[in-house]
Amino acid sequence: MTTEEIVTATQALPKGVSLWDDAWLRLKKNKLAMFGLCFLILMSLLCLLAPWLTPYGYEDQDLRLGASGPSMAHWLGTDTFGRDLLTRILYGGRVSLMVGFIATSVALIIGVTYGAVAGYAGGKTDALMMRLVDIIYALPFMIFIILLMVVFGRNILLLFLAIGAVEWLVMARIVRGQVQNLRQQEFVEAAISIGLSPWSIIRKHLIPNALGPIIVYTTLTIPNVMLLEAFLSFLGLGIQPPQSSWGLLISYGVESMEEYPWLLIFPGLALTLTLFALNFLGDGLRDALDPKASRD
Amino acid sequence: MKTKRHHCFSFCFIFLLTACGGGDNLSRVDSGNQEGVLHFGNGTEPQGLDPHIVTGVPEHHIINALFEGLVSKDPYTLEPIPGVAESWEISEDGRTYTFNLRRDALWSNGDPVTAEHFRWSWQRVLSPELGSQYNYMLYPVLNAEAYANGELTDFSQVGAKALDAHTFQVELENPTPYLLQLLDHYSTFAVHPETVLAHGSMTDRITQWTRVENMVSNGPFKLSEWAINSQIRVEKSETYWDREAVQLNAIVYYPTENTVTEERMFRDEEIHFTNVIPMDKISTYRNIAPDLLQIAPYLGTYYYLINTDKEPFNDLRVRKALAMSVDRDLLTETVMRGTVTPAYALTPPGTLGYQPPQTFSYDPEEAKRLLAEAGYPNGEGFPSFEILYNTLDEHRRIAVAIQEMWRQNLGINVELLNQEWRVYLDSQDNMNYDVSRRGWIGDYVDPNSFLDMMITGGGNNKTGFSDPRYDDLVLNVAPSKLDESERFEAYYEAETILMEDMPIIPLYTYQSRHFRHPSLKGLPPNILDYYNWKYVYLEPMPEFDIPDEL
Amino acid sequence: MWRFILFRSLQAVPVILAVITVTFFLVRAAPGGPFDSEKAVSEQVQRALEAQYQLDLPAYQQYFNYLGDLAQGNLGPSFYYPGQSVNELIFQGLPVTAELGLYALIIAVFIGVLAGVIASLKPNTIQDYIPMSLAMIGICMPSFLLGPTLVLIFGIWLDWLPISGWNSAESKILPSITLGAMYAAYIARLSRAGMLEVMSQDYLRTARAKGLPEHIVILKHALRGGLIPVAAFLGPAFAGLLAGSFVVETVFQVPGLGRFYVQAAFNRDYTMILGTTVFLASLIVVFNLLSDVLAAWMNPRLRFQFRKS
Repeated sequence: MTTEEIVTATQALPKGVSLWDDAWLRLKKNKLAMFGLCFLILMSLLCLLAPWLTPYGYEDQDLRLGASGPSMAHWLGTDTFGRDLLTRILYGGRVSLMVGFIATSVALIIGVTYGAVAGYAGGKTDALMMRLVDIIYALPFMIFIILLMVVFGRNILLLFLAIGAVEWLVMARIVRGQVQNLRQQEFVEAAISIGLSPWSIIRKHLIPNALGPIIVYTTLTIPNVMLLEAFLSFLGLGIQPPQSSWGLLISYGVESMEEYPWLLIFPGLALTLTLFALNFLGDGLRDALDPKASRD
Repeated sequence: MKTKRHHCFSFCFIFLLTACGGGDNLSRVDSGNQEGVLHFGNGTEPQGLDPHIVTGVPEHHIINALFEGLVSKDPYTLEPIPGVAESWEISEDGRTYTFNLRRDALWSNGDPVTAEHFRWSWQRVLSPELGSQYNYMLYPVLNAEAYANGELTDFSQVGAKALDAHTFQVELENPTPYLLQLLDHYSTFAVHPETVLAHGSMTDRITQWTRVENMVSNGPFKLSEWAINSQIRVEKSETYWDREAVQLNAIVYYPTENTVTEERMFRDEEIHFTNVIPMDKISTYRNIAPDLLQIAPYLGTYYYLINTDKEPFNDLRVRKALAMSVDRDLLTETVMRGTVTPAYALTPPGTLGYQPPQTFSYDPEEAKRLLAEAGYPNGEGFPSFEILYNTLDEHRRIAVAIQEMWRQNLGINVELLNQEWRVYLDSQDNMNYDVSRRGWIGDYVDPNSFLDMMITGGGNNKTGFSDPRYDDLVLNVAPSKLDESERFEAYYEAETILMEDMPIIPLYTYQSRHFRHPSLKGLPPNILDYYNWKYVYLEPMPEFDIPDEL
Repeated sequence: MWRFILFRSLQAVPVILAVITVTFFLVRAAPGGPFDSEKAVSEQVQRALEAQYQLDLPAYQQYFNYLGDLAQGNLGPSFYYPGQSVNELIFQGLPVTAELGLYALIIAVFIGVLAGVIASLKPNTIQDYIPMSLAMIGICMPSFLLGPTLVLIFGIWLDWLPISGWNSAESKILPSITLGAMYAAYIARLSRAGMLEVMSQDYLRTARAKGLPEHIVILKHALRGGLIPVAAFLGPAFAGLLAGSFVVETVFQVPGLGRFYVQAAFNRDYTMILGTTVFLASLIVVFNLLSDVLAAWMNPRLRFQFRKS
């Protein structure tokens, strides 16, 4: 057989049940994961449809009313400006879910690509790339943020970039470690020997096999990213009042946790439940995508 | 019941948890009351303790305990009382002050405090090389400004002279009725020249003379511990001339940056006095323990700057519309929980009997009319602009409320822009803003401390406001008047000009807000939020407990 | 192996130099200077201040002066605290933060490994869900929320522990737990995953087949392999902990290095920013090296690769 024939043969083999179809089938059987997925879809829909779901605007104030507990008019109560908390949580969810999704994707794409290339290349390239990660990791983050704010002005996209720019570093280290491990294994050697290009080896063999740790770390990154957004918004980079996000609502809620506990509890609940759902989904995905488990 | 098991912590923390559950330890406040030690929440960590270099309020609280100026202030009336000078004479024309220094005034190392020490110290403050940020406090002194700017290099031409060891004479450019108040500011205090010179030159900023082991001071207390970000402790001085009057044995200052933590330290009786009251706590305390609150008028104004160089704010009608559509009563009552009072001018009312003009009031209809006249009926076509403020919860709250008031009353779209402190200062300095939050606390009780700021090109003006009539009234007319009511008339006229032009939107007059433990006495509220430590004492109240419901 | 360590140590020099260079110019590019204040100062005063701290020199000269001082171990005077040197400030804050970090990691490892191992013994049962849910809450719970909540419960309601400070043993409990909680959650997840991986491997089946009691199998055999990811995590975590303790130090008023690190940026305390950054960079380099060495030592294939290079 020529190399070309082997390639066609190997590609033809898993026909019908590709990795993704297979994974989806297995994911569907995992009740907890499906519950997580449904919850996430529901939550996203609620946030998206907020303008049609509540009679209040997120910026509408009633200063005389001030902070009031849950009532018929305001199901989750109001904040110190008399703004409806439910409305603010729904609108805030848009920001938090978007940050969680986009910034994590940025971190994921950069981190996985960078780490995989470094781990695959090895030697001097690897050393150079990983020392660059060390350098960026050590730079004072605060100054970086202050500069970003000044150079580019206020911009939500910038916020995602800033967050992604920080979070990809650890991801790169993790992926690189995994890939370095896998690189030595027989199936990679085999793929090299049949002349597959490094890029397709990374894409088709190395990354899928490193998916487990990547997914676990991603589910850990999302809460980080959402809280980082609150911190950056607090410093003036990112969203500005009267807009809000779950992270910001929680950080304001902490200040008055004894006086107006609902201002902390409800946004906290929204964030925690969403992260739980994400986590169930993540665990399910990892099990479903595990190449070792696929023969069981 | 303190345990000393620092190193086996990890093994026994669960045991400690239960062991400490007795709750029979004396609280810090109670033991402080017994020992005469005041535990004081001081806001932030002081930058340093050199009176000629530092600039902040936390530093002020500590330096006031360590040093004493020529005169001091009665904390109840704010009248000048003798300090290092036991008496003074003022010449007929109000331009020459002669201070008689007391002979028993001593440094903490036993050396007498002399007139020459004051002359040397004033030279130090005014030396251009030192870069003292408060050197302008001495500018009323003859030739002081010229010396500070480097135009004059011979200090003997400056109006500060030691006639003999115990006679200090000050000559002024103009009669300055508030001079005695300035002499209570730390930038005019004396430092011990030999000590400063032992650790560097006269004008070194990077020097170690203020360290615990080196510090020599002349106040009622002396420095005994300085642990950065942890605590600063001062103890009663044995050499202070009025040591009999000093009732506290020690004061411990805590850097209480986190206001939530500070309030809890207070509630847990770890400190007697807090730097601030978090806004959300006000109602609870008012309902349960109003006696623990100390809220009093404070010589400061919170206002918004308007960039008058920029479209559309160069239009007076627009500025007036913005100012008239803010409901200050609602703002102060709800957002600020009644802890501040509405302001309609730059100078706080009642500054030494001076009443500022009120040129406008809350009138949304008139505001709408003015905006329409300026070409923006119902706010149509009005460009979106930003309110700039530095990152702090209170500034955010006010900006959020005003944003909504402008949207409701004028139909204009306003965005908020919060910047980190130094970026914010930079934006203001470069006039890179539309509307910006600012606050000003008077350095001394006189309208001049506020109005002086808005002169043409003044470093603190920051609005582009300029009016030759205003400059003349503040710089020439008022200072030349010896009679107080005539002087205040000139200021009134100047402030009317200022408010008619509306380069600033006054919002409220500050009030100082502190939690005070009832055992703490002799720390009365006053308009400068000034503390004279030698009046302070602790009255043990073993039966008193901070209510649990708080 | 020794060649590998030597090689990597040599790489540290350009890394730290690059960090210094970038930081040096980055801080000077940030708007607002170290001496700005709300009250305007005269031109003369501004110039005097700059002269006192040699900011009037051209930037490249400041840079080489700094490198020269650094070579002698001198991090320069703090711009924000006149009369204090950066060396002094760092050596004041370091022991406190290191102690706090150590306690936090001990708590984190203890609780995290325990929870992770318990969960991994019976995956997808209640015994798994409860510890893992707690871990998830730990991850969601930022220290700015956990700290004040713990203070409220143990400091105010129960009145067992002090609210702030870092002096008595009791005062160290809450800050350590707050800082440790987040790491405990991470470690729990990592050790669960690691244990599950190991449990299915052949040598454990052999051990069980030999009739060893289950607890011996777990303690003597499974733990060693299952905790490799945790060990790899600890190195970088400890370096990151020093920078990450800022919130805990502020909430509990602990006089540590984390506060200096973050506040220096807000204060534009140029030398302090550089000093703490250089220090942190060295830590990161050292701990990353350690974790790489550990990984190489645990993985024979990689060890072989090092011998080749």
